[in-house]
Amino acid sequence: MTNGAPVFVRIDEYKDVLEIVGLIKDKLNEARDTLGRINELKNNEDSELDMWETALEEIEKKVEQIDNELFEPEAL
Amino acid sequence: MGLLGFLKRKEPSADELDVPPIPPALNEGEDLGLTSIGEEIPPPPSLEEEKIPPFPSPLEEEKEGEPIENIVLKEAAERKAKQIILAREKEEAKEELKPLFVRAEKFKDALREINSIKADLKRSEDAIVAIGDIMDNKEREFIKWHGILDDIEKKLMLADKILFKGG
Repeated sequence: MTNGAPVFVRIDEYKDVLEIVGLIKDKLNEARDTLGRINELKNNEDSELDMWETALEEIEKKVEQIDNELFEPEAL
Repeated sequence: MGLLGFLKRKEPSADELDVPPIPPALNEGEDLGLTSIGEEIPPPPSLEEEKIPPFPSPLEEEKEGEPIENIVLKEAAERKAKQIILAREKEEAKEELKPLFVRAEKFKDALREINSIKADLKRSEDAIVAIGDIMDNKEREFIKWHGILDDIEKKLMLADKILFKGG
C-alpha cells in the first residue's frame, strides 16, 4: 500500500454473490411495486376522507339550520 | 401256430429289403481320404482376431444415396464442432476454478455499502412497524366514528319521529 501497488481481495464465490445481488434487485423492484400500490390505496383513502369531511360539514350545517328553525319559534 | 400267431410280424429277408450293395473290401494301404479332412479345414478364428464391422447407425443408413465426399465432410465438420464445444467447456471449467480478485478499496466500499443498506433496512422495518401502529389506531378511530354515526342516525330518527308525531 505504501508504494501504491494495488491490493486485491480474493472472492471465492463471486458468482454466488452476483446472483444474490440480482435477487436483491428483484426484491427491491417488488418492494417498489408494493409501495406504489399502498400509495394508491392511501390516495383513495384520502379522497374518501375528504368526501366524509364534506358530508360531515353538510350535516353540521343542516343540523344547525334545524336547530335555528326549531328553537326560535315565531309567536302566532 | 397259436391262436394269435397271425399278429406276429414276419421278419423280412435281406433280399426283400431295399439295402445298398456292400462296398468292396479295402486293400491294404488303401486310403478313403478321411484322414486328410482334418488337415484341410482351417482352425476356427479366435474372437480377438475376428474383426466385426461396426453396426451401421440409422443416421448412416439415411445417408445412403449421398455422395461419400459429402458424408465425410459432414462428419469432419461435426467432429470439429464437438472439439470446439469441448474446448469451450474446458475453458469455462478453468475459469470457474480460477480465483477472482477485487480491488481492496472497492471491497471496502462494498462492505461499507452493505452496512449502510443494513441500517436502511432497519429504518424501513421501523417505519413498517410505525405504519402498522398507525393503521391499528386508524382502525380503532374508524370503529369509534362508525359508532358515532350510528348514534347520530338513531337520534335523528327519534327527532324525526317526535317532530312528525306532534305535527
